[in-house]
Amino acid sequence: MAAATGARVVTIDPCHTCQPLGAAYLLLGIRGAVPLVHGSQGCCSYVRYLLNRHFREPVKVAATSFHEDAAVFGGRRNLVEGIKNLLLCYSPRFIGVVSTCLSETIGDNIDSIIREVQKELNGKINVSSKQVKIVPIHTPSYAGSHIKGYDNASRAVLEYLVQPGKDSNGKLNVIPGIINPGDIEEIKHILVEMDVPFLVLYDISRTLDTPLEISMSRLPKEGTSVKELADAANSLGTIALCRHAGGAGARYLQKKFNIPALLGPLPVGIANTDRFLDSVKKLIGKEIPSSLEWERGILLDAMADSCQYTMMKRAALVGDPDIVAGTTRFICELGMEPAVVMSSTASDEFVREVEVIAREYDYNPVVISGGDLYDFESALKERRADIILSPSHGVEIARKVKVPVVRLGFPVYDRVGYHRRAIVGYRGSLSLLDLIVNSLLEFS
Amino acid sequence: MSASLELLPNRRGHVVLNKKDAAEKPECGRSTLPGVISQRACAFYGARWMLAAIPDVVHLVHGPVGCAYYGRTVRRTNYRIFSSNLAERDIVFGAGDKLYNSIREAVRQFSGTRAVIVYATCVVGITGEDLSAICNRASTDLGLPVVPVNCPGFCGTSQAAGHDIAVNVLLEHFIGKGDKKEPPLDNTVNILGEFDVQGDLGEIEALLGQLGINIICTFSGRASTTAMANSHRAKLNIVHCRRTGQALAEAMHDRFHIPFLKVSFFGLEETTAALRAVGEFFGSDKTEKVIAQDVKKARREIEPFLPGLAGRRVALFFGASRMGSMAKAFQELGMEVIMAGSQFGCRQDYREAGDKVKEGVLLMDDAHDRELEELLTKYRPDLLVGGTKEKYMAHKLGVPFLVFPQEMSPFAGFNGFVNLAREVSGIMGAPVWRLAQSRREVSKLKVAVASGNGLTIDQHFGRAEQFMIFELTPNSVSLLEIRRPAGKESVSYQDSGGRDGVRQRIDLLADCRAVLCTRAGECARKQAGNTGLTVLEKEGPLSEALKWCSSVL
Ligand code: SF4
Ligand code: SF4
Repeated sequence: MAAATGARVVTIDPCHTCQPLGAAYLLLGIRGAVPLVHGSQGCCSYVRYLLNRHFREPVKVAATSFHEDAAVFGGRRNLVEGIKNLLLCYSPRFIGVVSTCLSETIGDNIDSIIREVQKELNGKINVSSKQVKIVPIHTPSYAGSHIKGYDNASRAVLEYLVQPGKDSNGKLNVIPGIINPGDIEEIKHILVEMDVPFLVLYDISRTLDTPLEISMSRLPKEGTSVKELADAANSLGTIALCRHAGGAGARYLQKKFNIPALLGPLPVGIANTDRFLDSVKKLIGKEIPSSLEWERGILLDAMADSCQYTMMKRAALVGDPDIVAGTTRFICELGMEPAVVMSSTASDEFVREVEVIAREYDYNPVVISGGDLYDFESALKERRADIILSPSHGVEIARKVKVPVVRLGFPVYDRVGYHRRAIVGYRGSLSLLDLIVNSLLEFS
Repeated sequence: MSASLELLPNRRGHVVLNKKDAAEKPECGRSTLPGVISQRACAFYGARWMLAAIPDVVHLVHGPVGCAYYGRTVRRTNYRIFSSNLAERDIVFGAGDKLYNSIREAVRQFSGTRAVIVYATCVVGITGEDLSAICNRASTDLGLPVVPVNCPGFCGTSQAAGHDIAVNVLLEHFIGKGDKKEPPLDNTVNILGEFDVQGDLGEIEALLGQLGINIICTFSGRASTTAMANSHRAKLNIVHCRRTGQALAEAMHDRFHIPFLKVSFFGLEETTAALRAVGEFFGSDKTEKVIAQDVKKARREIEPFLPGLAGRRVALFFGASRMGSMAKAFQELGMEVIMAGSQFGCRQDYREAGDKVKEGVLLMDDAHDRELEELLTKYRPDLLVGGTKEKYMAHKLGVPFLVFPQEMSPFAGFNGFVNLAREVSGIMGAPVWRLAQSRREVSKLKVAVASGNGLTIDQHFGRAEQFMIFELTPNSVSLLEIRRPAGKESVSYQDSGGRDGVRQRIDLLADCRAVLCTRAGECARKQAGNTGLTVLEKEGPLSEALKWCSSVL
């Protein structure tokens, strides 16, 4: 059932990227934050470009711009100067120093360099270390994908910022993971309906989807504030929507401050959303209101109305592990058969999760953990599918094998507005269902 | 004179106002300041820009998987890419075998490959692995060229380093590897520095085709290994982009004695000049006919767009070698270039751009995000032209943006110029920019008051000697200025209370929503109404009248 990537050494058309992207994704959800990529320019400009294309938003990510000298003698001077210039240009409240393969390999000790800079700042430049938080985040990319980068950052930032107080703040922490602004808005909607006080950590919903305002504002005014992040240690519980991206942050809070942590599954479809609501109920003790029951009913109604189109259709899914696993369950709920299920980032948890779902619904999908697009295409040719659910990089394959594609996850750069859509919650799932059914109808 | 932009000390030399006497041009080719948000990319990116489109070779990125993931996409197109996908242990214990095996497997997977191109990335660049040795070994074992491209991202100061490295790779391993004894082919050219963005090459090919000229190889928008191997048989090399084509042309001149011409196919004038130069080289007698016919057609087709473009101000920020010719193309459309800049210009690029734009125009080298943002807010161009990384910032500030290299249709040649005109006018004329302004304007009202004494409304509209112009917002009233109709002498043939006086006063208040006056003639009121100016008759103190005014409008 589970197919290993085989004995192949060479990677062909990779579909996951590296840690700095994940770290930047997270940092851009902090109010007044600028990620500073410590390495050569390319790593940074590629991150910006990819985020630009997905969100169609300006993205402020700076680099310490290594050239030959820094690569050979170390990037200390670049980091010190970089922090100062960044402060002069944007006066950020928060700088996340994101390492790269290069700076990690040459062994720059960013933690100690940052400590020195902080000390120096207290004297000069009119910025005290109280006004700006500078946090080192280790993201060597030869050891994990963008998912890991987000995960690492989710913990590093909390470790640095949280301040446990005496009293509980009565709130629920939510760590979103690499999901869209539309998803986060949907989660907020659910929590508001349940009357649950909440704290979305690393909230990109209003920093990476912003209005055209014609005013010069250097950094988005939204996002989770440093103060709110500090308060995360006083919450009643943490839900990491994506186990793989953000789980580390939630686990850290649990271990250190005894705040119960729940990791995934991403609430896509009926059962996963039910489970999410139940978790919230358990952690905070609030009832599920009739308004959400109504939404659930609407989704069920739509599933009933469209089951003639979805039944026995074969789906192939690829993308980040939590999104793919969450969506696979929904696919099964729709009476569709998951034929190929692949995570672009390797994970045993993912394989287990998908296998559990498959057993429950009695399917036998090809499950690939950490595959590349070549694996996906090969599996697809062998198993055949009626529809593909994938980020934009699956689109070419879909064209090749002539099946419809529903764009899902990150990145989607060849269509507009996907970052604004939700796939989570009953309403998000409903909109995903509509996309799936309409694509099938369009194609037939 | 200096630009009114706030600049970090180290950046001052990089931003200058254009002067014709060439001496003062921006500093360039320097390292980027750490900590700024530069629009530059890395040498690896530059090498991919040059080589990615070569179709019949294996492209293998030696490094961690991220570089390969990103390097897969070039000019918005995804190309098949292989990666040695280095993991931590490879970096600690060496990745030579992994690379060797990756090469072998890639060749096996990709049947029909003619060569392997191996790109070195940053990590590989410092671990001190002997890339050439491994490539040589693989080459011998596999019986096909395995070519190292030593382009770790930290090389040089920008992607330009990668362009140069790639040029050497092309020269050393691909160009002129065909049969050396074959004679040159009549009426053939190569095009150097042309990447076929959105069909540009098709336009150029069609133009040359009309002159009876064929293209052997285009570096590297259409460069199969066979085409490159035969490229030494061309009679002429046409350099379309200096940055990526000039060095190649010079080397091919030295090695194969192929003469070259630097031309541009952007804009009517430049395209015309290009065709003339090429036509003359080949002694073609069709050139003038082709030009006359195509230019006439293009002029007819851009005509409807010109009124909307005239005098609009455009800022340019993209690949250095295109600055000058694109500046000229925009000027041909009647637009005014207010800034020209690039991530990686060289002296000659800035000199060429400087020659083509007016004095006083901003020239900016390696402008970073913050500087561009300031440029947009302080200079408020009507259009910014640049890459995707700048696009959305411009949009947030309400500035129309054109992506270049373009996203929608070819811009090269005569047809391309028409496309440029159409796209620019479509983008600038999109109602969204006006709507974005209107919210702020809605709550503001400009009102004129016919008052001679400044305290009360005391004048008849058609005979008013002055109007006080106020701006009303829900919670404020402010006097903006006082306007007076031209004196009697300039309208001497008519009494200022006559028909022309009315017209003149209406025009004077064209931007106002309403005018308060003691009285206005029936005909004046009608004329004003037609232009959207409401005439309100009222007497008494100004303050009361204005208050009343904001409640009725
Ligand atoms: S894989 Fe490493 S070196 Fe390559 S882009 Fe990512 S961080 Fe940079
Ligand atoms: S690691 Fe180097 S080669 Fe790779 S993307 Fe970053 S700067 Fe470019």
